[in-house]
Formats: sequence, C-alpha cells, structure tokens
Amino acid sequence: MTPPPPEDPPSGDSSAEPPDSSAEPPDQAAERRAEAAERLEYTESSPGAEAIEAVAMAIEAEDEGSGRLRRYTALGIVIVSIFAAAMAWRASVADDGAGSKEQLAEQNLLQQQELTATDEASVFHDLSLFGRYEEHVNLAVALERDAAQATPAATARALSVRAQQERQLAHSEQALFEGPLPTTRRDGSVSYDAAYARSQAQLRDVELLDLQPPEQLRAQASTLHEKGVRLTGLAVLFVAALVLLTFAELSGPAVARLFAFSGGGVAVAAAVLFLLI
Amino acid sequence: MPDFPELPRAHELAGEADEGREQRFTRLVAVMIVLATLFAATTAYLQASALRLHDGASARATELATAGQAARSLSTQAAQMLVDRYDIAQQQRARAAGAEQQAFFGPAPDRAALEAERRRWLKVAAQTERNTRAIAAAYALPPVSSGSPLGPGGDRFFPAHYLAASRTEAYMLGARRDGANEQADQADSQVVRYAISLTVFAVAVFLFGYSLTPHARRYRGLFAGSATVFVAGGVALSAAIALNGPQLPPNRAATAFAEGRVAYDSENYPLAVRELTRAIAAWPEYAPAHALRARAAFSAASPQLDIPLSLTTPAALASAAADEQRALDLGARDSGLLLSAGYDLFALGLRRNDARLMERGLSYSREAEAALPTDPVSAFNVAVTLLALGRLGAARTAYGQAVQRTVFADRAHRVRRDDAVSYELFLAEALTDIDSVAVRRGPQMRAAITLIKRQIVAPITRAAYGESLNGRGRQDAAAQGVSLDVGAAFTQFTIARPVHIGYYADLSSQWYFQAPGGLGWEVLPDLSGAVFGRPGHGTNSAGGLFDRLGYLSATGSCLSSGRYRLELYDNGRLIAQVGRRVSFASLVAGRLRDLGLAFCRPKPWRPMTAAAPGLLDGYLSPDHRAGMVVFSINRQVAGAGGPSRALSRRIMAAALQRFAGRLPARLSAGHDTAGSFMGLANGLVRSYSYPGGTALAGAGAATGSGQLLVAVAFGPRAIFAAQGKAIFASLATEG
Repeated sequence: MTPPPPEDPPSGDSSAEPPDSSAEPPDQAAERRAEAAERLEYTESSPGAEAIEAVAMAIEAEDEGSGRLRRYTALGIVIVSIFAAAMAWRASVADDGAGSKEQLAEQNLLQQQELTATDEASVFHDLSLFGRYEEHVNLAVALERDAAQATPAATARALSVRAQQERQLAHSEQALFEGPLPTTRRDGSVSYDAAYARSQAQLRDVELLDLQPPEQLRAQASTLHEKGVRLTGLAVLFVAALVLLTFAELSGPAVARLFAFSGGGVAVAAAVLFLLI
Repeated sequence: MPDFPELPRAHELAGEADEGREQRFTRLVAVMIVLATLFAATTAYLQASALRLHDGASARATELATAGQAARSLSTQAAQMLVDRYDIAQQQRARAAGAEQQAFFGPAPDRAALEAERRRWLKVAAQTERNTRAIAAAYALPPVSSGSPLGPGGDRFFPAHYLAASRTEAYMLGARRDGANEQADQADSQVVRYAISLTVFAVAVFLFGYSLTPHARRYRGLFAGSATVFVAGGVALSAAIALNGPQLPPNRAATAFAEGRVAYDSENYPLAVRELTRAIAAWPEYAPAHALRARAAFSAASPQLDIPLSLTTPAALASAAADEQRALDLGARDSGLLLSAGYDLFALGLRRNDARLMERGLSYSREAEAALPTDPVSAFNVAVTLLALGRLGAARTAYGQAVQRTVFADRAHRVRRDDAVSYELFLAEALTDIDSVAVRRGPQMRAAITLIKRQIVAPITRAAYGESLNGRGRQDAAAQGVSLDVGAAFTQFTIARPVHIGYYADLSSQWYFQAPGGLGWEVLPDLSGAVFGRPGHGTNSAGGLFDRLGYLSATGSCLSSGRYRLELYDNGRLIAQVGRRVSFASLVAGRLRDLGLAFCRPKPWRPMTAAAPGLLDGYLSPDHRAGMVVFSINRQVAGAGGPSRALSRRIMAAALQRFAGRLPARLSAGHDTAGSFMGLANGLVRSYSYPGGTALAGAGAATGSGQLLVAVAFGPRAIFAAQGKAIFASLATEG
C-alpha cells in the first residue's frame, strides 16, 4: 500500500508555517526536530519515510531561516537604539547651544540698545550745543559783514566788537562738543551733519563695537535650532525603526519580515538623511 | 504492522480557510502598525518644528518690544529737540521783531541801526531754520511748521500732536510685536494639539499590538478596527493642524494700526477709523485695533464741544460696542477697554431700552471699577447704569462711593485730590449721564434724579471750595431773575436778585449744551463748577451778580450756536435753571501763540505769513480781503506812562500808522464805539472804514504783562457785518 502523499511542504514562504510556531521557544523546536527524527528512524523502511524526511528538512530549514532573521533583527535593534540615542543627544546639544545663543542675543540686544541710547544722547547734547553755537557764529558773521560796510568808524568798531564777542562765545561752546564739530560753509555760516554725527557716535563706541551683534547671534541660534529640529526628526525616525524591529522580533514569521524590512528601511533612510544634513 | 507515525495536523502544514484569514489579518495589522509608526514619527517632527517656530516668534517679539521702546525714546527726544529748535528760531524772530518795534517807536537816529539789527536776526533765524531742516531729515521727521496741522497753529495742545506723529515707528513696532506674540501663541497651541495627535497614534499602535495577542483573539477585529479609526483620526488631526499653522499678521496691518493710532492721538478721528479699518481687514484678530477703532468711531461721531465725550450717534455707539465686544472676545481685558465697553453698552441699552445690554455693561463697569480702585469714572458708570435699571437704592450707594473716589485720591479715602478742575471734570461727566437717563426715563424718575444730583453736587462743590464734605447750616439761598449770555468765546450768567448768595456761598454753576441731533445735553466742564471769586467781585451796579467765563481762554476752542442751559446749585440744592437758544457765526479757534492770545475765526482763514513773533500776528482769509491782525507793543518802548484810554488811543493811532503796510490801504479816521476791548478797563474800540470794507480796531494795556495790545479786524462790509464783530469781540488771552 502506497502511503498517501504528504501535503506539499511549505514553499519557503512563511505562509505555510503554523501560526503559533514562531512563538515556540527554541527548546520546544529542538524537541520537535528530535521527535521527527525518531519517527524517521521508526519508519525508515516504511513507504512514507521519504516524504516525512522531506517535511522534517523543510521544518528545519524554516527554523534556520527564522533564527537568522531574528539574530539580524536583534543586532539591528541594538544598532538602531544606539543611533536613536546618539541623535537625541546631538539634538539636545544643538538645542542647548541654540538656547545659550538666544539668551546671549537678548542680553546683547539690551546692551546694544543702552549703548546706542547713550550714543544718541551724546548727539542730542551736541545738537543742543549747536543751537547756541550756530546763533553766535551766524550772528558774528552778520555783524562782521555789517561792520565792513558800516559808517562812521565808531559804528563799525562797535559792530566788530560785538562780532568778536559772539565769536568768543561760539569758541567756548565749541570746546564742549563730544562728537564731530560743526562745519563752516562758504558764506561763513555753520551747519551740523546730524546723520554723520549719529553714525560716528556708534562707530567710535568701542564697547558697542566689541559687542557681538545680536542679529548674528540670533542667526546662529536659528541655525542650531534648525539642526536640533532635524536631529530630533532623525531620532524620531530611529525610534520608529526601533519600534518596527521590536515588532519583528516579537511577531510570528508571517509578519516578522515585513516589520524587519520596514524597520531596516526606516533606519537606513534615517542614516542616509543624517549623512545628507 | 507498525503504528503509522503521527503526522503533523493538517492545519499545521497547509492553509485552511481560517488560517488564511488569520494570516491576512496579521499582515494587515503589521502594515497598519508600520504606517501608524511613520505617521507618529512625522507628527513628532512637525511638533518639533512648531516648537521651534514658537521659540523663534517669542524671541522676535522680545526683539521688537525692545526695538519699539528704543524707537519711541529716540523719536520723542528727536521731536523735542526739533520743537526746541523751532523755539530758538522763533526767539530769533522775536529779537528781530523787538528791533522793529524799537525802530518804529524809538528815536529817529537809531532807526537805521535797529533796522540792521532786525535784518541780522531775521537772517540768523533763517539759517537756524535751514539747519533744522537738515537735522530733521537725519531723524526722518518733518521740521515744526507754524501753519501745519501738527504745528502751533493747528494743534491747540502743541506740541502734543507733533510728538504723537513722531511715534509712528514705535507704534508700528509695537503692533508687529503683538503679531509675533500672536504667532508664538498659535505655535504653542499647535504644539499642544500635535501632542494630542501623538497620543492618538500611540493608542492606535497599542491596540494593533494588542489585537495580535492570544488574549485579544476573540475581539481582535474590534481592537484593530478601533486602532484603524484612531490612525485615521490622528492623520486627519495632524493634517488639519499642519494646514492651519501659525500665521504672522502682515506688516501692512501694523503700519495701518500705527497710522490709526497717530491719527487718534492727533484727534483726527475719521482718519483713525479709516486706518484702523484697514488694519482690521489685514488682521481681523487684532484686539487693540478693535478697541481703538471703537474709541475713534465714538469720538468721530460725537458732537460734543470738548472732553469728556459721553454723547455720540446711535450708529457710532452700536459700532463702538460691537468693536469692544469683539476685542473682549479676542481676549483683551484691560481696564480702559472694560470701562469703555461698560459705558457704551449702558448708553446703547438706554437708547434701545434694553435692560440686558445694560446688565452686560454693568458687569464690565464693575470689572473696571475693581481694576481701577481710585478711578471715579468707572464708579459713576456703575452708578448711572444702576439708576437707568431702576435700582435706586443701589444707585444711591454707588453714587456715594463714586463721590468718595472723586474727592479722595487714595483707596483709603484720606488724601484729598485738591484739584478743582478734576472735580468738575468728573462731576460734569456724571451729570451728563444722569441727564441722559432723565431724558429717556421721563418724569417718573424726576424726584430720584433730583436727590441724586444733590447727593453728588453738594460734596464735590464743597471739596472744590476746600470745605468739609458734610456742609454747614446756612440760610437757604435763592436766585431770581437769572439770565444767561453766550458768545463764541465766552459764557456769562447774571443773577438780578440774589438772596443769601455771597462770597461764602457754596455756589456751583453747571453749563449744559444741547448736542445736535437730539443726542442729549452735555455739561461743559471748563465753564462749570464752583463759582470762585473775590469779595465784591462780579457785582454789577444794580446789585446783581454776574459771572463771565472765557471758554476760548480755558479750552483753546470756540463755542457753537445752539441751545444752552444753566443750572445753579447752592449747597447742592438746585436754586435756578434757565436756558436759551443762541445763534452766532460758526467759528474756530485761531491761536496767536507768541502773543499769548487767541480769537475765534472763520475756518478758512490761515495764519499770516508776515508775522513777527512777539510783535504782531494774525490770520487772513485766503484772498487776504479779510482778517484780524494783533500787535503787542512794549509800554517802555512806546515811552508810555500808566494805562489809560488816552494811551490806548495814542498807541492805536501809532500802530495803524507804523504797520499800515500790513493793514488795508486808506483806512479812514474812525469813531469810538461803546464796545469793550478784551474787558480791559482802559480799552478803546474804534470803527474804521476803507474802500470796500469795514474795520474795527481796539487798543488797551494788558493787566499784568504791561504790554499794549492793538487789534484790527477788517473785511468787506457784507462779511464783516455777519462775523466781524463776533471775531473782534472773541479776542482773549490764552490759557
């Protein structure tokens, strides 16, 4: 009597695997292999022996393949965990740096405002002086012009003396200017370039020049923040890969590959993105 | 026959139908777990980005706040410096005018030298102005100009409007700061919403995993189905959050808000409404723009002559209340907004006879009252709302508290304000509102309103006199034959037969003006209040009492034609009430800042360009055919003695002769009139004519300064007959 042909062995696909086999502990699998060998010995001469042997080999091959996947998955989990932790650490360092830069930028901004206000105050002081100075000078010029044409001589002298007084008063005011001095026009009248004085006041402020510009610090902070966000994104990707690999480790062969390849794919994508950024 | 070995069970080697379904389910769940994990990862990344945006927006807000503060400080200093430079140029022109005055009135030999001196100072002033233009450009500000709306000619509170205009950039930076804060807030709430989405994904992954366990085998479909719904929900939520991300309001909103704010500060309310409407169109959620537009809309439509503004049109009131409600809904809760919202809802409720609106207004007024513990206005608003709601007992208690807040400056009610102007300002606002209630509620409230008026007028008047709030026993006063007179620049009342009214009476006059359009009566605080005076002062030859007040002097504004009413209180008791309609030309204030004078003029008239600060100033019609010119001459320079009518006559003749170039040609010799010149005892008014026109000239010695003043109003006969006398009579000292 010919024994009934055995069922087709699993086609290498995990779909033929009994659903619970993946959850079997290794010692139970060994037991099953021993049991199958016993059966083989017992039925060595039986007509179905070959078929049973084939089944046993298929099971063994399946178990070997599953074990390899699990070993790689375990290794993948370790590597991805390390990468995820590294990304999180780098992101934290970048954020920390960004925070420090931001704080420094705020402090520098306040200091810059104070220094600029002081510089502006010195220009206002000069402008206030200039109000009196220009009156003295312009009046002196007008008096000198009138004196040159005045008659009699006594009137001319009187006008000259007044002009001289105005010049002296202007001179005493001139010594008090903190910034650029007023300029004299061709006609003798004076002018004050407030825009130039403002720019000079800031250019001559050593403290202000020594200050790292807040805009620059903000730009640096922004770059670091961006980096932190990108690294956080990568850390999240690695964690996602970790989750998928863990599922691969825990689930049956039917879906283990899917989880493992997805997790591996996400991890590789994250690694590539890390190199790119 | 040996036993046949036990073969693997069929379902262990080959798929049956159930087995196949199970495997498909497992695969499907695995795919869903992968997807859910990836969605969660994406959401986590988006959350990190939102957090970054929040931090960036917060930092930007801080930066803008600092920059706004710096810009405000710089622009204010620059504007003050430019005002100072304007004053320097004016002083130099005044020096020139002084030389001109001496040249005109001094001895002949000195005239050439004085003329040269005048030219020199004018040149120096011109150079100062030239430099000022360059300096102003360095600060991106316009120089002060006499005739501009921001200058002394156009701003009765100069340099308030000029300083306000200089703050445009600071206001704009402030609005942009608010925008950055708004963006930071939105990003913050986005972070929170992403956290919800992440939680949903976490729950979904858990349910998927649980559905694969043997324990959940029976209901795995339910678990997996629920998890799928969670994933779908999470994805939808994340997508919605990402699509509705934080938006930075456009800069044009900040620019329009700043323009609106400057227009509001400059009392250009219609322009403020337009600019703020533009700001709101660009940024509908900007609460400060809604709050400010409410005030601007209220003020733009208010026919009141002066602050405090309590009356406006129903449309403006409804618009203001809607804007205030929107600002409150958007989260604004500042005390100023609560105060306005409370009042506007009361006024709107009173007008519509809607108690619910008034109740809402009452709750806002109470909030404002709590937020401003020493402010009488919020307390008066609470009181008047209770009165309008008919809760008389509560209203009387509330009025009592409001009076305490009016009289005392501190929370413990121990330190008196000692500020008669403030007392009247608060009292006038309260009386205006009470009158609105009286008009709407009719006679049934008359008795209650009389009591409440007495309750508030008596202690505030005593406080203004510096007396004890409780009062003293006095004989009841009476006023018979009370009449009133109103001009463009003044009000006056006369009591023909006063009974027990003397210097020590606690007399309070309250002047009302009926706002056009039947909007109600407003009390004019600058004309009202405790009637001060010296013993014997304000008594006419017939034994009557009179009190004349210069509205133009007090406010820098002119009165309008319309109905006026006077209420006279003695010791808080209403002793007389008279009213009448007065009609005069519609005039606006013209200020002669360097002379310290002002008068009421037709609106088209402009400041004369040939003014000499400290010597002569005036306004002319656009065609220069009409105008008013005022000269101020030093008595010493003119070589005059003590003030007298003879001196006035002499100085008038000299001024008309010396300054003939600035007056209509061929003024014919005039004749004296009975008119008074600025109420000066030594004053003289003469009438002149010239081809095609008429002129009135007045002269007199100002009390105090010793300056001799000469004023000439002129114009074509027809125009002069209609307005000339009123214009001439309105001349008064300013402030």
